Amino acid sequence: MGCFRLEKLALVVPNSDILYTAAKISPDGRFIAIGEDANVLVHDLEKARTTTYPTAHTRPIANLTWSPDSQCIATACDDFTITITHLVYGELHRLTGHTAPVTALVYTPKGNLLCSCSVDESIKVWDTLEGRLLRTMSAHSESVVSIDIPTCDASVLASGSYDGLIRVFDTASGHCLKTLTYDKDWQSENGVVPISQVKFSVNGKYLLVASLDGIIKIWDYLQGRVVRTFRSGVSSTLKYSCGMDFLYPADPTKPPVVVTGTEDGHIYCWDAQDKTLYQELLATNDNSPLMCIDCREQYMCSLSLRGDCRLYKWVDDN
Amino acid sequence: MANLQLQDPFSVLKEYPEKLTQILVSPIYTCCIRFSPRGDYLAAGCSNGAIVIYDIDTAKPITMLGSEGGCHIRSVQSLSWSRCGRYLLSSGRDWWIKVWDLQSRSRPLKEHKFDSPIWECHWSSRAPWECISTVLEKSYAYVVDFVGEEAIVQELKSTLDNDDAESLDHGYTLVSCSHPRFSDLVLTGTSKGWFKIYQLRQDGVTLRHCSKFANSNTKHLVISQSGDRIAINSSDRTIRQFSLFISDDMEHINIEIEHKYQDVINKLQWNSIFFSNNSAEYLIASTHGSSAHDIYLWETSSGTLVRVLEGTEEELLDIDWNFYNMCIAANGIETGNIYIWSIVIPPKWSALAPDFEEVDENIEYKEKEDEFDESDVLEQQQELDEAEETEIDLRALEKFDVRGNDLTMKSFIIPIEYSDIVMLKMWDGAGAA
Repeated sequence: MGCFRLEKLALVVPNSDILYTAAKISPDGRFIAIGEDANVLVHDLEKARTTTYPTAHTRPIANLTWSPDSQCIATACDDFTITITHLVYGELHRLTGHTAPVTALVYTPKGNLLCSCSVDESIKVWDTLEGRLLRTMSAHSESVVSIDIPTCDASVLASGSYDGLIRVFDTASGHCLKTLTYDKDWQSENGVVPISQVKFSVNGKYLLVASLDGIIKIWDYLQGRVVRTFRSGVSSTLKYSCGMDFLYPADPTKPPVVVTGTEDGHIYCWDAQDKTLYQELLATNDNSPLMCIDCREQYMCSLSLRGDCRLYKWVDDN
Repeated sequence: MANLQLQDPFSVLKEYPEKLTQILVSPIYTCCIRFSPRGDYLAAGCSNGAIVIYDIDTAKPITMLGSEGGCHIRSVQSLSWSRCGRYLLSSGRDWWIKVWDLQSRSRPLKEHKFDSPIWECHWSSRAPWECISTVLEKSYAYVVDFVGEEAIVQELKSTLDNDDAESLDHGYTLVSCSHPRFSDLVLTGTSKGWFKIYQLRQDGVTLRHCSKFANSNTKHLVISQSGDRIAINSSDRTIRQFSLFISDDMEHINIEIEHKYQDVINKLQWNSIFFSNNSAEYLIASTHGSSAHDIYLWETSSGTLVRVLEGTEEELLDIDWNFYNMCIAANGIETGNIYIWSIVIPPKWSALAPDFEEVDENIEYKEKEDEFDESDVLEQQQELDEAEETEIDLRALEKFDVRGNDLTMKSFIIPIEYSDIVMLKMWDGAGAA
């Protein structure tokens, strides 16, 4: 067992006119990048200093991701475009091709490909060296809102869509390899349950999935069955796609932790093995939804819609 | 890799690629090509001494070695990747062998100059930083140790060789390879058709085997991953395949000829040869001569030709086969382009929904006896509950892929050179203006 301890509070001074949706820790653990309107704020954790990187976007940034070498930030924007900004050289590429707001991004572990998904129902794969579109995967019938690639295996890409489907694609060919749905009755009386977040386990064998009915599940996607279900109590129709992630305690004998955010600003931490609730904590002052949860090593960064960004550290109990 | 677990197993486990799928365009004539150990990069050695690395995912060149100097000034003869994928060994007709660190690749990390052009050079499997090289008009191969500041070079020659040399001329040593299982054994072939096995030990070099297989030049020498089969390509237009038996104490070494491969119609020489994985069920070769554009693939147990890999419009020179991505690459002699054959797996439409099934012909639906029974629902619930209690492992990585390749060695990622992207952008910008 263990728990999160607050390390840093209010990493940015929120601007009340702006809605915040993305904050990510860099792979080397030195920075936190936060999307603020059309700018990216990069907070240096060591020097406790924030630098603003303006982008060419004309609308707010919906999501962002770090390149695996921690040198670049790719931003997904409501203006249908993606930019790749280098921390030293500035903008490297502006990728155009989506025909609706871009919702999420993920790099392959080599950093040579960037994948994006969009409200236009497609997933696109880009060459990061030349900024060239390599292929488009169109297999969803609603907005695709979340994608992920395991850090140990670039061969598969998982996507979650508002059409209620979770699909697994072959990154190289673009073929759909597997489809997971919420049980057999995914089309209930109220229509389908939209998927809001997908995230692979560190070994790439399981998939953590959040849906807008407030339920979090771990799928064994190779077998196509649910192996864990977590309910945060308030099981209703959600409006916001709240953040979630896995955290792997430093002690390898300790089970991984499923960390999820809620619409009223709480964070729930579950034992991924026996599903016990370790901890419940309030991570905002404003009770706004927790839009982003990002775990890296023993650290967890949370961000609320109103811009309350915090850094927590996981401490194992002995 | 997880994609292979979700695809049709019969397609995934095909033993050799059949379709030309990629062409890597090269503006320079390429002499030799090598996939990185995990098959995600391909290095090409060029006739002007340049070494270009391609990314297989994007089919584009990503870097050229020696941007600040130190590259070869004549054609690159051979390339060899270290097992970790970080260090690349190159040898050239400019008499140099060089070690490149792909982490910082603007200059060679280490280098050594011989006094004549190099035939080939490869990493030894015995020790890190040790390599075996063959040099023009030299009777013996060389062991080069790059561990220190200065390379230590030792002739691969035993005391037995000295006695023999007086009575018999074995010719020059042209090719060599390391034994995959007995890492201290080095196999060599000479210009007069002799095949030798040396054992490298702390106290010196021992000649373990010496036999004559032909009267002509040895062009290539390959050994299977399991170490019990070898093939020798020689300039008498023949590939000879031998079974190799080595007892654990190395006292008994036995080689026996299994098959000879010749092009009976065109009487062509073979440019390059390569074995398939594990115990080498297949042998491939590219043909010499401007009329032949194919790669021949034989089954080694029967010696029959089973497949001809087609699709190119020019003669092919060097070949390489990677067993992680199951791709065969060969470079063209006229354009320098690199052709890649791979296994093409057709899309599976049943993957688009969880309860789709692919059937060969229409099946009339018949309700099963218990299909809509209520008790079944209970049982199903029980099954679901059970799944929730079975232990799951979210951390442990897979050790082998479905083809049996080792996944424990982490593959090296070549860092992206961002200044190059910026420079190219400025170049394009200036061109547009």
